[in-house]
Amino acid sequence: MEKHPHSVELTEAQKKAMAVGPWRLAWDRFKKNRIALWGGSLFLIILVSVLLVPVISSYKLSEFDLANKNLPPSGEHLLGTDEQGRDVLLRLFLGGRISLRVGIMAAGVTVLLGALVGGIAGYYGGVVDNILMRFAEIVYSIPFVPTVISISAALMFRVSSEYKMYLIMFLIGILSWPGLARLVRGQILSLREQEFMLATEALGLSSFSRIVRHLLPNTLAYIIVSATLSMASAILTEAGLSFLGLGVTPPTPTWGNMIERARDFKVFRDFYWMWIPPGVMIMLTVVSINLLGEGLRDSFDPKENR
Amino acid sequence: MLRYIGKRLLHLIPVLFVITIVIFAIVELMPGDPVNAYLGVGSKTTIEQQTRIREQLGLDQGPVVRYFKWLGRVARLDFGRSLKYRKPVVDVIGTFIWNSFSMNLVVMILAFAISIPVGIRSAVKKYGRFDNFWTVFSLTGVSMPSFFFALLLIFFIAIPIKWIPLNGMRTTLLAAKGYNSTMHEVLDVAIHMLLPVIVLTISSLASLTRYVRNSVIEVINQDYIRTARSKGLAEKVVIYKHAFRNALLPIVTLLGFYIPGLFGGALILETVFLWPGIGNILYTSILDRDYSMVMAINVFYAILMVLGNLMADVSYALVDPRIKVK
Repeated sequence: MEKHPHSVELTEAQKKAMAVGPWRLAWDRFKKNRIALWGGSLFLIILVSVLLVPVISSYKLSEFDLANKNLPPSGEHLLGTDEQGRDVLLRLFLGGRISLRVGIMAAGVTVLLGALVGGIAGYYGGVVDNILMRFAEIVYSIPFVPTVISISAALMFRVSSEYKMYLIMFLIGILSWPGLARLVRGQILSLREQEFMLATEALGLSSFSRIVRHLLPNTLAYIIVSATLSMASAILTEAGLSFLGLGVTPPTPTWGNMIERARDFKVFRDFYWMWIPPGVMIMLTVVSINLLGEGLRDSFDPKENR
Repeated sequence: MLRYIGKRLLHLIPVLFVITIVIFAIVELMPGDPVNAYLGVGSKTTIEQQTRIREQLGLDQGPVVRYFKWLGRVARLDFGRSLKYRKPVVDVIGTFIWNSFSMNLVVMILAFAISIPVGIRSAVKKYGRFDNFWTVFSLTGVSMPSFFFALLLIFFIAIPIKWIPLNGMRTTLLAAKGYNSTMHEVLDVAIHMLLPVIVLTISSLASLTRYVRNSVIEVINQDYIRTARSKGLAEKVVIYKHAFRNALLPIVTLLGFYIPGLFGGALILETVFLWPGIGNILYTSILDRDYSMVMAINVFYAILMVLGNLMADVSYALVDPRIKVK
């Protein structure tokens, strides 16, 4: 008997090729996309260090040490101390927790609203679609920056410091969903006509299950990309608001309100270590998320064959 | 065409109606008593005087009544008086618009003049060194918070170099004494404009170059470009005559969207540079609780936004004969 190891291998490879689903394809393409991998790793590093550094740090946020205030970076305080003698490095990573949380949750609100509104509009069509899309158009026409600033100024004194970050996330989310809603709606309009939807109808599934379990998962690629990109812009928005003093306010540190200290000219000119590191962190974070988002977009896009 | 524009204009009415409700509600939620803001800090008035002022300002009525009264006045372009500037709001906005406009105009000219050639070259040599450089550039540009970039420029350029001003629009002393000549004034303003223009140009370049590049790439992949090439035309002719003209379409649309935006100020940036534009005035009005100003500027921004979208659609329909006006 002659063995044909070669032919066996071939059939296995063929089997494997047949078993490759869209997710596997996307993952394979993502792995090959070096830029996306870089972005993803950088983001992971930031995430982990934001979680770990405050735990390892020997300083505490509440510790005031007026004898050691405004110290430049040194071996003891790697990024120096602030005007109340607090360790800047510790505040930087604690601030990162808040900034990232605002970004993630704002993106969550955006995605939830966008996917639901887009899903419902696309699925039902007709009057429902008309009303929802008109509404999306109106929200889309609201000028983002002036409105966010005005609303958070209006609610500033009605909300206590610790809830302000939730306020900011909802604000950003509520104003940013229309873009995704349009995208999802367009996708669903074409998916609706496909045969698998006929099958769900034949099975007698409820509308809810048809939208949430059968239609939306097929638009997941768009949703994931949109989630990463809206997270990046939410982080930038929070930073801008906090910089103006209209976002999350001290003593809760965020990257934005740490840079806000630079509006004091003395701090700006003489104590650069208090405001440059948070700015650099924002930039690194947003770059990493954007790289990841672009990479994901390319991996999911079947037209992209690089 | 006119019917198309008319129809689009009619579409805007409900949009603006809802936006004005939102704006009115925001200002209603704002903290503090406008009567106190009107009187200023530390003024001594009796309760009766305050009540009279309240009635004069129409603040004793319910919110719905006040909304419709306000809307009626807005329709006649009467936004009331600014409590801080003690002048009609329209006049105040009218003076500050031009500060935003002049800066935005410079930025727009620079941004389009740079991004069109850059975008074309990136598209022609896709993934080449030039293209990759601009990819990294625009990625950094969109990821950098504009205010942080502004602070870095002030820190590394304006502080060491004495003749570059930190902020403002004019040298205070010169403006008070009066300029020697118009040229002198223009130069003074221009040098104050330098840093904010750099920041704004770079941040608009970040997205514009990508936009131009992608629309040129889209066109280059079309069949008629292949035809032009197979006809034996020079590559230059193919790119600049056949491809670019068609790629211009989305760019013109974008230009349409940009034009109304020229009048609105970049809020955070104007605040950092203390540039006396619309954005900066909105911010200070919010802090000063100058509510009629806040409402008027928000309405102004909303109109600009809506007009921008309208201009984009209309210019698209104008440039592209394939779009049928329904």
